[in-house]
Amino acid sequence: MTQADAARWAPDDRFIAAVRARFPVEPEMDRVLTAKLRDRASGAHRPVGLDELVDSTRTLIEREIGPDFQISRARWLGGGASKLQMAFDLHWRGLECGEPRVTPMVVRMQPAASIVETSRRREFEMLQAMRGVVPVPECYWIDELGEIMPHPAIIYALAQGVAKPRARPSVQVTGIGTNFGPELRPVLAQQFVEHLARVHTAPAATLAGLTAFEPAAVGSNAGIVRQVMWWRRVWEEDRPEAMPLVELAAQWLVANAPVLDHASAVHGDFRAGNFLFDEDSRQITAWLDWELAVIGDRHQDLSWLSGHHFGHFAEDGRTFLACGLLPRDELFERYEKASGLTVDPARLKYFRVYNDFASCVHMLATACRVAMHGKSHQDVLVAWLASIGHVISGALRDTLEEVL
Amino acid sequence: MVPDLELQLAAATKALREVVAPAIDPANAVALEQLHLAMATVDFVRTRLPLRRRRVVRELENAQALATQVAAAGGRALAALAEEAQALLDSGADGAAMDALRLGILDAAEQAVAADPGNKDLSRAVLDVARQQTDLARAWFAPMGFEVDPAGRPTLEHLLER
Repeated sequence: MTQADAARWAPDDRFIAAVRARFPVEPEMDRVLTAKLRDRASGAHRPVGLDELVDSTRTLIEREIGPDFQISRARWLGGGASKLQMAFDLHWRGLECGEPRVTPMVVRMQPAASIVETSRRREFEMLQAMRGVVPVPECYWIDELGEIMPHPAIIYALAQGVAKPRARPSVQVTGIGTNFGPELRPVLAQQFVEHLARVHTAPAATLAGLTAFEPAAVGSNAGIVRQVMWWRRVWEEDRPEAMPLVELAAQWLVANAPVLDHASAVHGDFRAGNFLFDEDSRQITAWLDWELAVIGDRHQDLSWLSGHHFGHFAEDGRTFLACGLLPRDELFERYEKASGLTVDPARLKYFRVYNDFASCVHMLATACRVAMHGKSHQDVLVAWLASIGHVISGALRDTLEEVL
Repeated sequence: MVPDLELQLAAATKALREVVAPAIDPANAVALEQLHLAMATVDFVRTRLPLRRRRVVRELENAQALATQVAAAGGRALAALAEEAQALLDSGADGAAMDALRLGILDAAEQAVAADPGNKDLSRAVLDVARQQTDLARAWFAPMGFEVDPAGRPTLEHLLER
């Protein structure tokens, strides 16, 4: 093991100071990533049991609303690759102390280590900001630093619906390649595009209220350079082995960072698998997983959702459907009409490199690192997903060949 | 030697499928998902174990090509690593030694790229060898099911035999 590998295994102050100095990121992300490194050195992972999580949830809620409530039907929730989720029923009187009621809730807690290390504060703030913009679960409480819960966590209402049709079970994990089928597809596609447009055109006043996010200035490329530094830092912190292609991509992304033309809320993982819908009404009921949200360039989402690994071919075997919903060109055309914003092919290509670069970091660095340290509740899923990083690195290589 | 590794893994998968899976509460979606992934992982490893040595050799050959091209593009420190790789390949060294050298080459190549941004020859070298390495890795992990067009990809047998 080299000195650098040993430092990644058990990061010391010197290693941590070096990555912080070399890769400047947003203050909240600096806090989160630094905490990750310090926790990695702190020793073995201890699985969190359902009873322990119920107890700490009870303590957190009591701190917020007092003792007049009960928790029942606590159970683990499947789905997703990064966070630990527990569903439960809350018997209470609501925040306004009204009539007794039962509200289905979710605790969303990060494990000791996660495939993407993110901020619960940012996720909580973005979910609150998106209320009234698109369907999102109502957020109630947060334990930002894991002072009461075993790890940082948020509690929000359990959204009703399914992520994929019950009659068409996906053969892959975490929503990849979801096939909605030809009847449901156009109904969901329409809402998908409208919701994306609404997220990207959220009022400036809404974005200004996001205190855990650094603003992104129109006319500057500082925001996207900061995002590149974020994932380049994570690569440095987590990678089990070097990969010159990733360094090459980071250099190109910094050298070619476009100036921002419109500051948008960017979901960061806007795709099939991250929304729920009601199978009877065929309405999207909730957008989930806002942990990678940033204030930035809409093309990040547009490029992401049209990625090859999230789509599939239509029944004709020839038409590729982005997110299993629409052909790319049609999706972008509808988006332009719905949002009043343009879709710039050059920026799409830039963010194709950016998204593949970041995904390589998630899969080939962090996912492997998480499994190596045995620090998540689903290492087998994380290790399985890591292999998609090679498909993505192949795409990254091919795109870099076009632009270099 | 009996029982061989393949037989032991096959027995483990059978136990998980026939005994453990039916004993899990069908409402426990997380446990069921992880059990199925665990079985699929063991099955995957069974198919790959016999090919492991050939993969290690091919990966070192790819790394050696990278070291040679990066050295020619200005990262001169990698010339010695390329020679070291050739010596290991010629001697039929054990897999751990080959893999350790491969990691060293990747580290040195990444540092060479970081130290010389904008060097077109270096970029070309990285892209050339990355194609070989990503093709190999994608073929190795093809059974995971993440390829949109698996039939259009080079096969593992072809990549290991070339």
